[in-house]
Amino acid sequence: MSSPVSTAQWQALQMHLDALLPLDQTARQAQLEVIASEDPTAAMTLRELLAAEHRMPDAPNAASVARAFATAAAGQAVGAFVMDDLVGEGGSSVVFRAHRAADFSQTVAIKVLRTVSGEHFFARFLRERDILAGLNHPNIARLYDAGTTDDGQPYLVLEYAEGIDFVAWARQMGRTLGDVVAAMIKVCDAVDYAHRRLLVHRDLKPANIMIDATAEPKLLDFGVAKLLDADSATDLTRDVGTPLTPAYAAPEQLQGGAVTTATDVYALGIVLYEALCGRHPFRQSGDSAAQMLHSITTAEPVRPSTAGAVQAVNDFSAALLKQRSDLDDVILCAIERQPEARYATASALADDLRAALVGQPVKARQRTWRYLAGRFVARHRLAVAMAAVASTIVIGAVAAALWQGRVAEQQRALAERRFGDVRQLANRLLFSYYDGIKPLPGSLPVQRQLVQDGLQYLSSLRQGLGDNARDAQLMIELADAYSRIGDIQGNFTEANVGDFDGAAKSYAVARELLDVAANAGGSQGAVNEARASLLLKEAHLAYQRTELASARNHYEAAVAAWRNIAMAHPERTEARANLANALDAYGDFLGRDGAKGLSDPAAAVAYYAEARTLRQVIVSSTPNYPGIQSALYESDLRDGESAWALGRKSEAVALFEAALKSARRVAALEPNNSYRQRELGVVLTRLVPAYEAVDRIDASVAAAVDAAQLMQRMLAADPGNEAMRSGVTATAGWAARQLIKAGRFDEAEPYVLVEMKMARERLASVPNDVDAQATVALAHRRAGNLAFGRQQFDRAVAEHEQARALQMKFRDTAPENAAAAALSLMYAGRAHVGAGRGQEARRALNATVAEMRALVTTHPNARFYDGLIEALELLGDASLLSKVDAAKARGAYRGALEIIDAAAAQRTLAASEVRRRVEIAGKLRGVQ
Amino acid sequence: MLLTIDLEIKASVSEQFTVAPEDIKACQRGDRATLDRVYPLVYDELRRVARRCLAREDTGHTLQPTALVNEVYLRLCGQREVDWGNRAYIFSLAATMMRRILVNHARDAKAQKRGAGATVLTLSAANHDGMIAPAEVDLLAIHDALDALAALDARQAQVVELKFFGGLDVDAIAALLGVSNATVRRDWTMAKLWLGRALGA
Repeated sequence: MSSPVSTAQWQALQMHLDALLPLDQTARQAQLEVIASEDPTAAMTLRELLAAEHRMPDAPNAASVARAFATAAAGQAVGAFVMDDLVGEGGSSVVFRAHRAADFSQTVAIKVLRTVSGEHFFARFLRERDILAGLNHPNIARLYDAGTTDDGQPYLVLEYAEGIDFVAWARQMGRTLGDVVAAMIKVCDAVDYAHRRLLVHRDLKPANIMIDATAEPKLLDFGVAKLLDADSATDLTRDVGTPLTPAYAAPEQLQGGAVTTATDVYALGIVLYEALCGRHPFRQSGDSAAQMLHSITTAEPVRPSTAGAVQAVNDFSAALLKQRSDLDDVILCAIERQPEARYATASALADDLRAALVGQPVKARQRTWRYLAGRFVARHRLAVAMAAVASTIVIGAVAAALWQGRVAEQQRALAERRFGDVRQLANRLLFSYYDGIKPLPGSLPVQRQLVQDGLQYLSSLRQGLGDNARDAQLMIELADAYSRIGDIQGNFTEANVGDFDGAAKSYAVARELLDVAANAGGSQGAVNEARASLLLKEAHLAYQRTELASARNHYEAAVAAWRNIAMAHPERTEARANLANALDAYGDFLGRDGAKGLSDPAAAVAYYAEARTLRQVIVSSTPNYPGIQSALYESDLRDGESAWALGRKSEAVALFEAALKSARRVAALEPNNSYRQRELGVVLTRLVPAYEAVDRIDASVAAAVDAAQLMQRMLAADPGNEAMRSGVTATAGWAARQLIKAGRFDEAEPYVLVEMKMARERLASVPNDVDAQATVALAHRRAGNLAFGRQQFDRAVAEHEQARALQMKFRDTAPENAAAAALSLMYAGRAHVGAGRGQEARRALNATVAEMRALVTTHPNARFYDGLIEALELLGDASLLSKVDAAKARGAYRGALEIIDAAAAQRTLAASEVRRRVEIAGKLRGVQ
Repeated sequence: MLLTIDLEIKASVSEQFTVAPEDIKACQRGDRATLDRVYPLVYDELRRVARRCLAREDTGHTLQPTALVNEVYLRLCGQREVDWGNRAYIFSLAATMMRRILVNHARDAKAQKRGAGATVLTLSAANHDGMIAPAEVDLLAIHDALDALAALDARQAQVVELKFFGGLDVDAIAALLGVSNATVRRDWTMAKLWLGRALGA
């Protein structure tokens, strides 16, 4: 301060001030000039005074007042203790060092709580006392006791710990990265100890993590948050008039969600981040509280190794970078926004910290995948919400990278290179991410969202390109993005939404972009491969839309394209693998039965064989080629189908079994891959009728039950997934069928019920869908067969008649449906036979025979013949119920035998067919 | 807001009061014995009331000096009607005490902050919990500057003490000191400039 002033001078100055204060700045300056000409000293003092106009507040800081009065308590007795010094002050309490009145040597800390009422608090403390007193750990400050002062203020008696808070300690000179992480590991162990005793801290922050002179951490306030929680209306407003900025509060705490061990993990992550980087991951200097809250709930933190403040006392960033960024991943995993994405326990965090320190692989990255895998359960709502999160993660990270890129944009060359890096990063994030989540159950809405977002991003990238508009690489990437969207829209070989028009459009755009890329000098190889992939997708789409000629052309073209690439680039294993897939796909298309003019099973077999050879070559040269194992069993499956079609049933079964073995192995290796699980289900289901055909009934039953259980497990993980639900319905039906056939009615019942329930649910959602109606009808048949097996004949009749009623509605849509309707009638008839109602039985069975005969005339299908034979046999049985119709019975049995014999003339009968012949022949003899 | 009277205070109002009007007159006269008795009473009451306020959940406004001083007066003297002389005395006494307490605390806090590198005793300290607290004003600087001001203009210093440390509003101060509102305002404006200059130095 400048020269002292006398009383008289002060009076004079005040007179001047009276005149000056009402004036504005310019006028003041003018006036001061005038004064200065007469009395420069006074003018200078006046200038100083005026400059200080707003410095003096109207009242002292309320917090100071509070603190001051709290301090004033020193020397007072509290319980059995005498308070010595105020040693600290927080939002909700003040802390004193105190000593036991009767024994000076025992020092404790007394924490006087400000924000709660005494009696409730103390009662709560008594309840929690056991847990709190049971915390006996060298790194946790013990809670000894509690009480209330004369004034009614509650206090806690704690172990006294002297030290520095964690972040301050970490930032001291001479502290190494190893020191800090080692200390944090101890902290994690202590936190874990408390967690295992069911106590979550909830309020971890550097101030609560003390490091003492021997570098031992001491955790403070464990359990206090819990004790306070019941009383304070909100934990967020604590201090006198100052709202607490919860820099260490996890997003779920801020949003009022459940507090778990992962909440503590989050706080530990923030503290570690701060300790190593010198700044808070979500708060920048100058941020308001609101800005920080916004960042916590939305922003992506910068990787610790790049976040270190340049002028930090201890620059850990070099050390962090050296750690191969594993430590980065660990810290980032701990501060993930979603609690489920973090380490679930502090000990998991500690383990990963230990691993990172010694350079062993960390689980942090895996956790993110597993979280993603687990999270993409298709409750649609959840999936969409997750989509937003997932997109944000990707786009956020990309945006961060982009921003970082912009910041470094000094020269154009550098800018361009950065841009390329950023784009590469974006692609890697976007598409490897996409590939990672594609196989996961329930990921469809997420994929869609992700790719849409990614596409938006790429489009905007494209717009911002300027000169690079003709960038061929970008065109190729965009084409890829469009074709992926097309897949989601309508690729039936993958989960899709059935938007075939949309898919066609997307593929068309992709095609155009590839043409542009080719013209812009894009890598010929890349363009060719992209085109070949696109051809196959277009083929699938055409097939789906029953544009069969177009499909055939595209399949052929795809095969040709991949062949060319494989020949031109023999070193590219991808080319051969893709060629094999294209061959399989073409073979599938050609081998279908039922289509006129295009079916060519022999060619299919040839293609399958070529595909198998290609795959075997890959296996011998690169056995670890990703997906080659599962690709091989695709070959097994197809060969099995071929054998089956050719009637070589035992061979088919052997091949299916080989496929099953591979499928099981692959599924076990990739438990989160829903494709693999589904494929396993497909093979199992294929085996059910296959086993039955070769008379291995038990194996058939086992496979059916296996498949049903597999599908049910998958549905449980993926409840909203329609494809999954129909899978469950189908496999449940198979399991029920086989169990009923095997006479295991009680075991069959639950499957029957599941089948009915799911079928009904499906029908309720799409009431006019023929397929849905057919499924319900089948469910009724199953129920009827179960009832029949249990000799509940009336019930059986009712169920079969219900099935028939449904099936009659769409019997004309396909021969299979007509057969099904006839069979239902037959089963009803059979039930009548069981109940001894000859007349009703005969009526039903006569009608059945008539319908089946009509059917086999136009469709001489072995299955239909089987049905006719069975119907005739039953008719015979029915006729026998009243001895009067013995002639009719004989006629029926003979009719059945005729058909069997006619078949026997053309081919070898299966064992079951032979058995049946024997039975019927026996019955015939019995009537004659 | 001049007075916050809640039920707690009301209950105690009916008791015998520790500081009678005669006591105050005696203090004003300078009676040593009475001063020795009254002074610590006021001080203790001030602390007690403050701690009670701290214990309440709605600490937002009840820790303002105004409320404290008022409560102290009521508890000690129990008079709500205007014996301005007595009230003035107790209030200025309390304001002075407030100043003393705050300044002592500021001194202690300053003494506790030793140089960088030394161990700082912090037990659940507020420093690093992310609280964005309003900047604290330098009470010690204010205290010294206030003493200097008192040598130049005793009334202005008293206005500051009553207003800043005691938390009284302009009307109450005017009534207490027997001057006009305008005078109090001018005193406060001038004093603020003086003290502000001291803060900036």
